[in-house]
Amino acid sequence: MIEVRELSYEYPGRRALDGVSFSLAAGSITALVGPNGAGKTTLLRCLAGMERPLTGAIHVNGVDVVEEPRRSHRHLGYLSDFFGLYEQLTVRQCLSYVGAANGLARATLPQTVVATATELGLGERLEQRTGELSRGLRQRVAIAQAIIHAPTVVLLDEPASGLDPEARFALGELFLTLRQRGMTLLVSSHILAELEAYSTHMLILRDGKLIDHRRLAGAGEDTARMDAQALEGPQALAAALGRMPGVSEVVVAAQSARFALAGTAVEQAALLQDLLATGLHIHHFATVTEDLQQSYIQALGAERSTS
Amino acid sequence: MNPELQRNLWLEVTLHRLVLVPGVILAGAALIHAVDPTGLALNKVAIVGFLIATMVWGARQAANSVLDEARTHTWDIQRMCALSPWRMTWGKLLGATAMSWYAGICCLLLFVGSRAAIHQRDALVVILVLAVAVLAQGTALIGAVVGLHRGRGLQSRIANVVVVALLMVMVPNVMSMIDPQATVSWYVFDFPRLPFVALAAVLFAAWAVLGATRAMSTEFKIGSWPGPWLAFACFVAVFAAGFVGIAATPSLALMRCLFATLTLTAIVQSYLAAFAYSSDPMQIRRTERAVAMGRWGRALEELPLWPISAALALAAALTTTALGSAPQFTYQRLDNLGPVSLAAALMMLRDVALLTYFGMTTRRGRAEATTLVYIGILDGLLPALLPHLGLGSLAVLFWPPFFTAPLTAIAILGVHVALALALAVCAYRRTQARLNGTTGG
Repeated sequence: MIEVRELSYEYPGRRALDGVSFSLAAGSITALVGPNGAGKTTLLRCLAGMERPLTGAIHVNGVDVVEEPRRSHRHLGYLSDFFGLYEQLTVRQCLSYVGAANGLARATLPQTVVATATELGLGERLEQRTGELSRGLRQRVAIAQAIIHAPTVVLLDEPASGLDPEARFALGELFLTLRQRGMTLLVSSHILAELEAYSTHMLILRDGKLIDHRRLAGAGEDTARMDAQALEGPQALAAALGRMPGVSEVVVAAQSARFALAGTAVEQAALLQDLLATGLHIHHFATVTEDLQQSYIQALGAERSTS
Repeated sequence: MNPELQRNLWLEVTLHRLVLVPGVILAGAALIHAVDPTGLALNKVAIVGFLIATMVWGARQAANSVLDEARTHTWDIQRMCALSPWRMTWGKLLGATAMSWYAGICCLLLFVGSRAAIHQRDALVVILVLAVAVLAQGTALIGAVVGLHRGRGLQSRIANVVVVALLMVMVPNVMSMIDPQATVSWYVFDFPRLPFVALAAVLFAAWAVLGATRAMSTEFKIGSWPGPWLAFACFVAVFAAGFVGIAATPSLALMRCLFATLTLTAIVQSYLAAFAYSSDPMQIRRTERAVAMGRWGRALEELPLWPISAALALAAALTTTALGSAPQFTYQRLDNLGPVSLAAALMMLRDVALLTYFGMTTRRGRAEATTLVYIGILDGLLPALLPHLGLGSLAVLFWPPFFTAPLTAIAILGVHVALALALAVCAYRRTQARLNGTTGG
């Protein structure tokens, strides 16, 4: 989907990206995190073909972004951290312009504009000038502009900046919808709790170097991370879990047993029934999502101790 | 329709303006006709009106079509779309200036309408003013895109106002070209001035549009070869050489004159390119990496424009020197420039090397001003001050005798160039050494 190899970028006297390599799986939402000045925005701008890297290659859907930036833009959507809108134009005109400029067919453009606006909750605002919209609605127009041409990869730089909690929640829901439509998202943000709600992967940059890139536990996997407690204690629970089909990686913690379970909600319900059938008194049974904040701090700490 | 043209039309064209503009022009025309019923005054005012609408207002609009994108943070939308630089350029040139063209065409209709009969001269006048308008708008767009590249929106806006004022002043100059009786001497030929100037304006307008497209390509991070840049230098040189008083048929004098003009053109081009794009030392780094990887095509795309012009200037200057010079130097003829052209090329090389050095050692945005101060010190202050301190013999080390002893000038300026290049290379190496231990951004 998106392949990055040995990407380096320099500002005068400063290396902003240093040999960054990674690939993003189709249909993933990757949280791009790192301290201020880590190179997040530079990375996004290079991926978007807006900066030419010193070395390295970027391919999106097989298109070389460095060599053919304009062609790659048909596959890419980008929302800048300081985005602007054509304030004198209506929402319909803004979306029509960006759609046409990204090669959408004239014949289907009006329908695409309406469909995209509706998906982003802007269906009633099509004839309103963007300069008259609230911050949250303007953000939605900007995202609509980034996705109207149905790109396979969407890059978002601090998309929730300046939004109220309700709008942030709605933004997260929107990202999950885009993912269901098959888009791959790379989202840079400082608000880790918010990223946690929808991210499937985490990519950590520090001082221009990639220090971690992995799938987040419990996020969109076929195998769920589970945590369970029984009145009989974690040892007895772990022993029972060890005999259950689909269960692996059983770990006994202070109060609970943690394990991996292949399957989805159906398998989880079946396992709970099976455990109850063994006579155990289960009083806690839940999936575990990774604490992004904690993982981020741990990853940074580990990297600092090795460097 | 070109989406960029469409967007600009949405912004520019309103029913109110469509009615107001011809209304005001017609009212003005009625007033002029009342004062001078012969139609002669209306005829001239219509052309002046066209030039003010398209050349002055249009140039401002063309520049603002880019500068406004930066001010409203919408430039990234344009950089992220899939429109080609060419479509973006003509979409802006025609769209952002739509109302100025509308007003201009109303004026042209008045011009045509005020004539009893349409002559060939009238058609040439229309071609001339149309080309001049496109030239002004294309040049304004280039200036705005370069200003944006340098991250100087405010300064570009101020420059835009200055350019508009200059264009206002130039309107009478364009009017003076319309004189049907005048002739122009170019090389060994005499042409009627109006068709000659009209053709030249069309050619320069085409170059301006090409230049705007290339500047847009650079902003869109699309690599482009420097061929047209060099071709433009050659075009200007061949065009300008026709005016420097060589009356002979193809001869050694003509070749000397052509190469001397090419040298001077390439020198001016080098300064323009260096000062326009000097604040991007990373381009040098990318070029170096491309060369190291053996990617010569990429290296040519990444190479800043000034070294290309500087190489052309040096090559042309060496050729001029090799061709020798006429015995007597006069300012009217360039065939006797000879080695002076090489000294001038070396002086340019020193200045751009200094600019490159300051680009790596001073804070962003200060390199140009700092370089100009040092050029002023080296070429003006020190040669003027030293004789007053009783050190007049040292003054030649800073302002060498170009015309009286050109070979001495070449030797002295050669030392200048060596020192300036050494400074630039050392600064570059220091920057790279710092980078090896520093990562972040």
